[in-house]
Amino acid sequence: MLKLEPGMIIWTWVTFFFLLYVLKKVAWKPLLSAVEEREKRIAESLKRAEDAREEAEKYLAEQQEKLAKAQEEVQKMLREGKELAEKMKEEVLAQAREEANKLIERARADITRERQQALMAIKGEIADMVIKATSKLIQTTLDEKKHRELIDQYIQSLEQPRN
Amino acid sequence: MYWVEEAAKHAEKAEEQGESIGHYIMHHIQDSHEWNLFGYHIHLPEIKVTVPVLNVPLDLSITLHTLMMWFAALFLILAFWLSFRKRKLVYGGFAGMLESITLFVRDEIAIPNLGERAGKQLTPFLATMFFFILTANLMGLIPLFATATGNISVTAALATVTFFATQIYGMKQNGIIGYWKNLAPHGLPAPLYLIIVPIEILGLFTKPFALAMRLFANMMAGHTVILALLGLIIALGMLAVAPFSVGMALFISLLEILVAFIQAYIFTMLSSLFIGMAMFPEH
Repeated sequence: MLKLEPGMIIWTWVTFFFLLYVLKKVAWKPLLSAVEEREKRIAESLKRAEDAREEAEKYLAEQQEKLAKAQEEVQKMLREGKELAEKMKEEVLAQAREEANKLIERARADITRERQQALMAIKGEIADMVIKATSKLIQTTLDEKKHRELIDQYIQSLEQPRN
Repeated sequence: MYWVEEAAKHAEKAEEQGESIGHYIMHHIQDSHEWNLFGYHIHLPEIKVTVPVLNVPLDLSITLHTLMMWFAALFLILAFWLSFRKRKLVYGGFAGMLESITLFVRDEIAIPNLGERAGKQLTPFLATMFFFILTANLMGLIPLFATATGNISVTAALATVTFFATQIYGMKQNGIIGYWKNLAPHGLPAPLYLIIVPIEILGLFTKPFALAMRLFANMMAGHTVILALLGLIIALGMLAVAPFSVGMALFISLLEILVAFIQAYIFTMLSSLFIGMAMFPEH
């Protein structure tokens, strides 16, 4: 049982090497190349996924930064708008006030003038009425021109302390 | 009184039968020139030649074990050819199983012992070794088939392949002189080399010898145990033993499936280990 048979050994070698040769062609080459290709592809896919993730993260950070910037911009714009509105309001108010003052001033001037005119008219009327009344009252004929001067002087003297 | 007589008769019969059963087991395990298929004895061709120059007779008969090896090889070629005929990126089913075993050989046996480059280069050799031994081992468990790996000549031939691969790859890697210099560890006191060098040279041959003996003994032992257990029924001539015998034989058979895988793994593992040791000696 423990005897080595040279023929058997030779057949074993022949069978083994034939099998090795055929399997190399039929099995190991397609199998191992498929496995290697798959391993390469998996490594590539992993790398691609990693790259994509990194890119996405970069993009996200970029977007966030942009968003923050935009918000800041909006805040600034709002602030500026408010300031501008404030300023405009002030301006408009000031203008309005000025206009109003002007109007008041003019109105006051008008009033003064009107009063002046009215006073003048009343003064004339009063002078006439006084002349008529006095001429009737004292029945004296005076030179009308002299008379008027006399009354005007009197009125002037009356006006003086009032002013 | 009756029982004693009966027992004595049984014992006598057992002794007588035991001897013939022993012969039967030996005959069954040994290589033969015929294949017993359900009682039909197929005679295999006997080829006897004489080596031309040396003038030595050589028996190149196609024996039962040669036939079994051929069946194993044929099965493997067909299985791999049918599985990997169409190129695919991912193989499923049976092809996927073959692939994962091959990857096991590559990633767990070849690369750890031989490194990335040499491991990948030697994967076809080691995977062929693994599948061939595994198929031959498992074939022995199928009724009507015989165990080629239970033949010392077969295991010795496979171990010599490993032996030559070890020497060739060792010399390829380190150069012829470098390889032989690396056999013995460096930096020992000179007198020690008188002992170390013969031991290392002896070690070169004991490694494949152990490889051949381990596989042969394991495969033969399992079959012997199974046949002996079944032979017990006939030897004792008692049908009552049958459940025990068959149960035990079934258990050993299942164990043998495990052993078939383990031995194929160990043979391949040690082959790659020896080649790796020759290629990358410890400094």
